[in-house]
Amino acid sequence: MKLMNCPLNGPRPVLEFAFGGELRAMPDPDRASDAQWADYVWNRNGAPGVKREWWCHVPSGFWFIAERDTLRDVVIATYPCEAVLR
Amino acid sequence: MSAVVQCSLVTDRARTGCKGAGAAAWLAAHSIPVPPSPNTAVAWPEGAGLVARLGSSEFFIEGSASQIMALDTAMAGSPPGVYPVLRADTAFLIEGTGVHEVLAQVCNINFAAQELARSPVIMTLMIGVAVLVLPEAAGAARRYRIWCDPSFGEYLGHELGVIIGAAGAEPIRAAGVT
Amino acid sequence: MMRRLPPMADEWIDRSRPLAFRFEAAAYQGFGGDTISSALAAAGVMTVGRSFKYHRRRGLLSAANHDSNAIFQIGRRPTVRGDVTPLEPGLEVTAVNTFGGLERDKAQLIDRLAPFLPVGFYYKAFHGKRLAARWERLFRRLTGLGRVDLAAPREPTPKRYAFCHVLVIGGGPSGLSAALAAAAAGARVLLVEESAQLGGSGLHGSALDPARAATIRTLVARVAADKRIDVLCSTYAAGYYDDHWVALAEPHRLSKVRARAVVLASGAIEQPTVFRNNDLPGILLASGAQRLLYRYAIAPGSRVCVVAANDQACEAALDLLAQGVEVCAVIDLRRGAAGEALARLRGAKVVILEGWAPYEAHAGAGGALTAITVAPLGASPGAVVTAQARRLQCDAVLLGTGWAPALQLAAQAGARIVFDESLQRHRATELPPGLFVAGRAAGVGDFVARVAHGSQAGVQAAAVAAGTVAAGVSGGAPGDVVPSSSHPFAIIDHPGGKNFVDFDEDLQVRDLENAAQEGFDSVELMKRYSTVGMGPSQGKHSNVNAVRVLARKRGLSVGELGLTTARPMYHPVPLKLLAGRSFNAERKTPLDSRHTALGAVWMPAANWRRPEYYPRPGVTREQCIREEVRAVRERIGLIDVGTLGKIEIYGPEAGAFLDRVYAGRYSDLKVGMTRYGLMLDESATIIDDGVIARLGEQRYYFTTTTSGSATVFRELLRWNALWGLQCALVNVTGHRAAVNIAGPKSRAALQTLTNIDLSDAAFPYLAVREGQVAGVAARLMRVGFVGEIGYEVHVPWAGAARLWDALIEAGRRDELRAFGVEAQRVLRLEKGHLIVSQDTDGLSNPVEASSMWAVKMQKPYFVGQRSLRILQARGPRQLLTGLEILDGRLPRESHLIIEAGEIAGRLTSVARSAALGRNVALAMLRPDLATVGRELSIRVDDGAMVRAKVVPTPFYDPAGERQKSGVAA
Repeated sequence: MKLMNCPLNGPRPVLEFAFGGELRAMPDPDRASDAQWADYVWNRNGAPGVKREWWCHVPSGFWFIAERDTLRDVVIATYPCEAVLR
Repeated sequence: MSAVVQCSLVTDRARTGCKGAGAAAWLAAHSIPVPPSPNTAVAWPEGAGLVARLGSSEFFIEGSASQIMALDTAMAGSPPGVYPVLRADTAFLIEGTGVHEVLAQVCNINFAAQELARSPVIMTLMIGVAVLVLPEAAGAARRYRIWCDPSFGEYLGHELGVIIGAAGAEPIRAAGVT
Repeated sequence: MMRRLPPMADEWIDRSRPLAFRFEAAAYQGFGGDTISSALAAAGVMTVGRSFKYHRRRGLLSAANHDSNAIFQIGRRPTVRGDVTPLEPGLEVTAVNTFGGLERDKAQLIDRLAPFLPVGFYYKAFHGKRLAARWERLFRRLTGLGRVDLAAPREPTPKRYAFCHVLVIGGGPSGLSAALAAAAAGARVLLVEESAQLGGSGLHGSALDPARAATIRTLVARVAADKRIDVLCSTYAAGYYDDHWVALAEPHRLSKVRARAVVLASGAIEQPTVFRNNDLPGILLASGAQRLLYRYAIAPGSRVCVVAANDQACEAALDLLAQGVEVCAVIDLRRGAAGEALARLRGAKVVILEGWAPYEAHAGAGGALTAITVAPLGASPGAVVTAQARRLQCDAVLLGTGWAPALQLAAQAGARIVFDESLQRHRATELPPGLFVAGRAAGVGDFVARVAHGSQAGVQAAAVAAGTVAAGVSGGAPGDVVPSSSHPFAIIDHPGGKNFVDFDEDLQVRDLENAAQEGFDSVELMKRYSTVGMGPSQGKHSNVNAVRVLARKRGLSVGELGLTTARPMYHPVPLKLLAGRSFNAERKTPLDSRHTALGAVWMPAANWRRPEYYPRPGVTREQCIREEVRAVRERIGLIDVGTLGKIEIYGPEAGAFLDRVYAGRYSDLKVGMTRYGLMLDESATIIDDGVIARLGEQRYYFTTTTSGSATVFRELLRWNALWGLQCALVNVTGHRAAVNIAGPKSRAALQTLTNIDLSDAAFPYLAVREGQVAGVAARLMRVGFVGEIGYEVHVPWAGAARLWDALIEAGRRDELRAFGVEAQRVLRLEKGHLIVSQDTDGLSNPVEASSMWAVKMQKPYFVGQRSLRILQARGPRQLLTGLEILDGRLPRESHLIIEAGEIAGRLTSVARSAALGRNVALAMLRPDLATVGRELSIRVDDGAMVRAKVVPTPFYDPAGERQKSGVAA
């Protein structure tokens, strides 16, 4: 089983984590057209490559960001979400 | 296997919790030791309870009934940035020569490799249940305190008992070993 | 015939411990330390099983579990692997897949029908629909391995996690030295070996080089004495997963080991020579004969012919000679080969036929091998010069013409497996960081070099484990380049066929050629069509030869064709090891014991167990539920709702947070009041609902559905992390209990237990109060889910039982009934209240669920708002609608509403309502049909149509007088 390094709890098997989707910027709901909004809600970029994703360490409820190369199936880095959000 | 493992139910101890940006300072102001780094614990009062820091701003506290009641009362006054966390956890104390073998059947953490000097508390999964684990020195050996949501307590206790029983040792007892 | 020899120096058997056992009802005796296979061999039993398809006699081949000839049934245990299963006293062993016993197997006639059973026969048989069922019955009867006894008791076995710095897979010369070197460098080492003892093939060739035995003894003793090395024998690495996570199948448990670095010293698997009747009992791999000799002191026969294409096979011949076994000839496929072993054989005056090959084996009465026809190799691969054929009398043939390194685990770990044409073997490249391949698995053939190579890998692995070298620097040193030990084409054609490539699946050379001919001409296609490599041994002895056959057919090289993917498991793993103890994390509320005392019938609700209803003697389930409903409607009922998600939120921006995650508005909620909440996802699909109570200016308490509690809380934490509002969430779902006491007499009963004024003036409908109930600190919410005056009482876990007992006592005068989930479903349906994920699904939005009353579109923002605007403009595609069933017959949930032959909706909830005296339902219905009074048809199970009509909801007490004021309607 793959290991992931939780920024709070250290390396743990992926069994302890829940995936929260790719980190994506939400378009301004008041300015986006219906089509732009639908694109945001429904479409995901499935092409392999380096992605920034939400992951949660379930036993502690700690959300963080993981950078994964989905082509090579490698976790490149993990960090607290404050690092990218604020 | 002739290893001896004992698991005791130690839910009887009083416990509470708090979280929030002001929690650490508030605890310190109430003369309660604050573990300096996340996921570590300090004994409080010495030998009879503990303060565990879960992440950066949440605390789990066990102590005497009067100490815990005093804390809860103080928290009820809604100090700014301090939020009470009700803790009705089921608590186990598991020890004995075969303790690591029993834990190996329920948890993916290498407990034997934990450095006690760091006073770690570990948030992990144990056969599907989120638990808080505190390794303690017991002479030359180790023992472990395990806390879980009380709704999982019976299940976790039962399975630990089955595993301990299969190892030839006595199953869980409800004695108040502290 | 095979037989036991006088004691060997390092034999594994304990001759002082004779063990009696039975095989196919006949009595035999082996020794402690024997495997089932070796005990049978020592007893001279040559036929140990019947083949899968043709029911041909099969004997020992590898004696190492590389083939599946020696699979047995022992009582209830199916598919016992005889090569590695220790003999125990009193075992009753039977062969598998026979009809009327091993010797008289009635199905052996199938062997003569072989020409009518072409490759792909199964696929072809099933091609026509008409006969498919009949074929299936026949195949199921004729094929298979062993019987599963469905009445066998469950034997829970442990599954455990384990950890080590360096895992060494394989206890042969390179594995032993790797373990020692890694331990010497400071690593904690776990060494696993599939056989009962360490040593691997280290003793093989001792006749040529007696120093090997001494080296092995020393290595084994040093490993045993090294406290940093843990040894697991009779254990195989079954699968290799991400980040050096390796599943170890031990005899009675499964260990999942996390290693920092791994040395794969899994050796090499000898490959059979392919020629007509190469599967006769008495023909075995040269290494198999050496295993039987050194471990169990067994001679393969009295007059042995050795087929060789490498030094190891010549060493095997010397090993036999040294024990006084006659070697009648060495058939060497090579020409002009050098080597000390060959020279020693010449010196011993053994007949050596260079450039010859076996052409056909012959069996006498009883199926035992009596002779072999050999002939010089011809000009093209696979051909021999039959004109010069000679027949040699012998009772055993050893096959030693090629090896395949055991790289399956390396492939699972992510390595690329490539074929080295010059050495005629596969090799692992691009190894993942931290994995090292050592010894014969890396192609190192020489004994001394294997020991040195293992040591080098052990040092490297320990350095990775210690973090002293970058884990990226890896790969292990390449093996020494030695003369190839594998003949490029030890596969001999014969017009009569029966030259088997895959012993598991009874596949002959021409089956594979025909597969290619029919277009299945890549390795993966050929595998699936012919089933080569798909038997219990997973191609360990057949994949390489199969690729060689395909390569010749297509005129390509082996490397160009590639190799099929090696997936876990490396060996079949008993299902009981995989099942383990089968944990099922079940949650219980603190009132569980109270429900048990009342004899509750349980039902699962998410991972909780909840009372479905409380049975009474002599009363049916339906009557019970009806009585529970009536108690709530007419008197007083009590239900445990502690499985609801229970969340506290604190902080100056708690209200703002709730305004963003719920569709309603909560920042304007008065302290002391509650409000229904509908939670949407970004597509405006309803994902949860609950009640939000404001306990203070900066303090809210709210509930979620039972099934949604964990995921909803997690998602709320994510929103909180994303928005960074000043608030904190606490999940107290398990730490608090909750009950709902409801019914016209509930207020009076509850009032006897609390000082909180329950009057409408002081505690109106939808209010929340905190105080003591029965001496327990409680939060009371006046709710209306079941449509009567009622209170949800939330208390800490520790006070739950006390509260429950007090409520039961307080309600006794009014015949309070505890009610279960089923009664609650009826009660809320009478009120037309939806249940998220029963009456809604993954596409239901608030417009369609008729829940826009709970949505505040004019808020600045909430999750799902923007999508809901679009959906609102578009209009609903379906509407949650109340129905009255007009016919006596009750349809079921999910039954379809049919309009003009088209599906126009489906029922989501149905119940007989005693209070209403009619049957009601909720349905997701096409909007144009959702007009009150409209009649509809519902198709029920048997296709009959049941009539219904659209009616307004709530069905019961539409004005809500009962829940608001508690007055009897």
